[in-house]
Amino acid sequence: MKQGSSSFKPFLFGFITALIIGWWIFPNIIFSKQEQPFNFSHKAHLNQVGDCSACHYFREDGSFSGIPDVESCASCHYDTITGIPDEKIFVKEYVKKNKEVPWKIYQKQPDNVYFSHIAHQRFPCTTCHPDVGKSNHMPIYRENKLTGYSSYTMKMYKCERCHAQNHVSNACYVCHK
Amino acid sequence: MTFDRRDFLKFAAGGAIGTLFTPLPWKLLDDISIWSQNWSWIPRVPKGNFHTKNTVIKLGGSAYGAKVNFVGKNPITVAGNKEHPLSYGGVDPVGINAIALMYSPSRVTTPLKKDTKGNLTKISWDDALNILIEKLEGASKKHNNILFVSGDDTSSANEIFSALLTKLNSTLYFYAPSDRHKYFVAWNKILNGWGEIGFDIENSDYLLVLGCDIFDNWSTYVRNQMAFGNNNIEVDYVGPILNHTSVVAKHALIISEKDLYKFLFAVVNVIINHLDNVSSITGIEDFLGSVTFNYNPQKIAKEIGCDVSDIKNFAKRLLMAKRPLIIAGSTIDGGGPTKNILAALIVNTLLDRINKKGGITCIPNPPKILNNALSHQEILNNDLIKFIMKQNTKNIDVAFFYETNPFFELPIIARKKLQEIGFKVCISPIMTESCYECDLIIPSPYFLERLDDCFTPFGSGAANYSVANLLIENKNPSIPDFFINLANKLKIDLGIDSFENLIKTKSEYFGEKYDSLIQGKCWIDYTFETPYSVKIWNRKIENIFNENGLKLQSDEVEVTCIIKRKVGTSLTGILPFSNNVIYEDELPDKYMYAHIHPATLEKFHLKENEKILISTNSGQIKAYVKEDNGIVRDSIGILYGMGRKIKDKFNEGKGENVVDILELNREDTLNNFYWSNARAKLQKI
Repeated sequence: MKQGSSSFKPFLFGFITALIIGWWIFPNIIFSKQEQPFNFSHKAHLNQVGDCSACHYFREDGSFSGIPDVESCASCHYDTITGIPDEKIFVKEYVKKNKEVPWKIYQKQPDNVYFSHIAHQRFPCTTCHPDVGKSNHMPIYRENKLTGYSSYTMKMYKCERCHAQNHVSNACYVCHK
Repeated sequence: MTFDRRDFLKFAAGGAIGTLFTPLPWKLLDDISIWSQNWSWIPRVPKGNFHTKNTVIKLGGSAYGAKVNFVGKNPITVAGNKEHPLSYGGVDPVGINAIALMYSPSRVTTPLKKDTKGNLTKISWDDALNILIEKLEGASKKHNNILFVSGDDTSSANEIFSALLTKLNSTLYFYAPSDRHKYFVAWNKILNGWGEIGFDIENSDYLLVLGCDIFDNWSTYVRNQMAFGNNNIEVDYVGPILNHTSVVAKHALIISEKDLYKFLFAVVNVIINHLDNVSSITGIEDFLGSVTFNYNPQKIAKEIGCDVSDIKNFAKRLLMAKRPLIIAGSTIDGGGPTKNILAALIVNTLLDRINKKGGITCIPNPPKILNNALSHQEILNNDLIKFIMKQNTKNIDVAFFYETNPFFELPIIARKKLQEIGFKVCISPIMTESCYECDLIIPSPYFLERLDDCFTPFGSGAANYSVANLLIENKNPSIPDFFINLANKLKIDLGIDSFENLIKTKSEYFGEKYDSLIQGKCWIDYTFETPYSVKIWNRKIENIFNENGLKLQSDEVEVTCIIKRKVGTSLTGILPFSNNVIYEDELPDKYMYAHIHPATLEKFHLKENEKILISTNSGQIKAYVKEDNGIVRDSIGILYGMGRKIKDKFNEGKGENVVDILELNREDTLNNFYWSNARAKLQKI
């Protein structure tokens, strides 16, 4: 009996070690934590402009504008308005130098995925995106060291599940042109 | 406590099984598969800021304003410009393909010189300049020893080129053949009209279109399509083959191109008693007398192969329209007979449609800034085909072909005359048939890579002026600036130091800011010339119409070209995306289809899909038979734009060039040439 009990312990030890590595150490190793170039308060801007679509709008042809460019931001922030350090960085480093901000994109999709925002406009933005509108801080950007994608990137099974739940075709060409 | 081998194996087994209950193996497998998609040598879609810039596209033949969408510095797509009066938001197949075409393997990127063995070798711009200096210095010692053919009749670059030519002792400056020239001959030289003909399609309520395809490839076809879509316009079409215009026409009638003027005069014969206020028109009595006598509807219907009721129906519709407009043109631009155009202008005058809302407009000629340049009208007065067929081209030392491809689009006999010229220079953005025939090839910048302007493309309803700005980086010089430099080296003062300054001067002339124009604004002016002295009929005009056209023998058919802009132009070749939209019933394999009316098939004992040899005095081509009710009897329709010698995968091995079998015919009274058709014999093979 003693011999049997002692023979089970290494197995259990290996099993638990694997669980710890797999669930806690591995995710922390595979994803690097990165800061955005400077902090941007969605909450403060949402209070000013009232709606996500004031900055993230659909163009005339239905395509989605995505993240506003520096030229759009500069229409208000050509010079510092609030004096907040992050705003000063933005004006000094990007507006005055006419340089685009290298934002880290939480939801970047591969080139071979054709995602139409306007086809999904009946869903709230937060169905897919982090609810940044209520926060003064940008979420930590966690980038997969192997793939280069953000941890927030929606995987294909999620797209397929949502399509199935909403009775939308899951044929390849729906998303891959 | 010992940790023996057995314990290690148990630990490993526990670890392995435990791992299966974590995301590690599954996530790692997934990530590795994604990682393998992102290796550094796999091309990525460039990322950047999305923005739009205005430009003018001339690639399709007729210029129009367009918007180019960029991601970062990369142009990605082209869209129409709603604010531009030649686009109204429309875009053509060539415009849609324009960005892909920019990366064509057949782009000319550096000057090329043909060596003694006929091989093309890359040379520097300085070498190209030195070759031209040497050739032009020698050639300018004799009068009219240098010839220049321009494929762009809207750009101020013509001023620079023609000014240099006149300074080099030559006035042999021509536009590539087009119906613009035929309208000039008919209106300004025969009818004694003033200004240049335009069509106020937007304000018309009824268009009678004869021969040409105004919604696919003729005149301002992008604007024509959009004007038709945006306004309440009814269209009737009469021509040798059904086309993009006929499919939206209320009534379409299939008649040979050589008979279109007869049909129109027969229509006039029907409405002759309903014409008001015509007594003041010079030549009206002789005209009406001739129409009454020569164009009896019953007689003409029998002659041209339609019903009298057709003629009467068209007459009724023309009479009922409040703002009718008759537009005639060639099936192949510039290649048709002048008399159909002349007839249309006479009937428009008769119906009091000159300078009237929705009618024909008489647009003032563009200004000339450079003193030594030839005016637009002087250039239109020069007829390339007439000149080369009359002169010994061996006596010409140097010829320039600027953005035109005569060795593809002109009949073989005209090509042979051009071949005899001593030294030939082709200026083109893409390698064309003409490039391969020339001794020196100079790369012309692509439309986004250059500053260019555009004054009133043929067919516009009113005078207009647009400027296309340089939108992407270009390492090569602009061609007008290259010629200014060439003039400087030859110690010739053209009176301008850069093309940009010429456009700025022209902008000032129009009272428009240069900065506004390069951002996409279009200057437009609704001032028209008043043609006081139009004479619609005299002995000469009567003789023009009394001449016999193409006469077919019983074993012959008439060749007709089918033009589709999706196939591209003679300058662009078959477009990259167009390979997907050229259907199997247009090009089944390397041979094309010859479209033949069922009655003609029966007459020649032919069946669908049989292979035939089509022979004319100019040449032979092979094709499969295709039964087609939409073509006039005793004729065959063949798709134009195939049989390219452009050496890329989009063009090679695709059909044959129908122009190779077209013949050069002459209108004796006018001393004009046309080649839109030919007499052919068919033989089964």
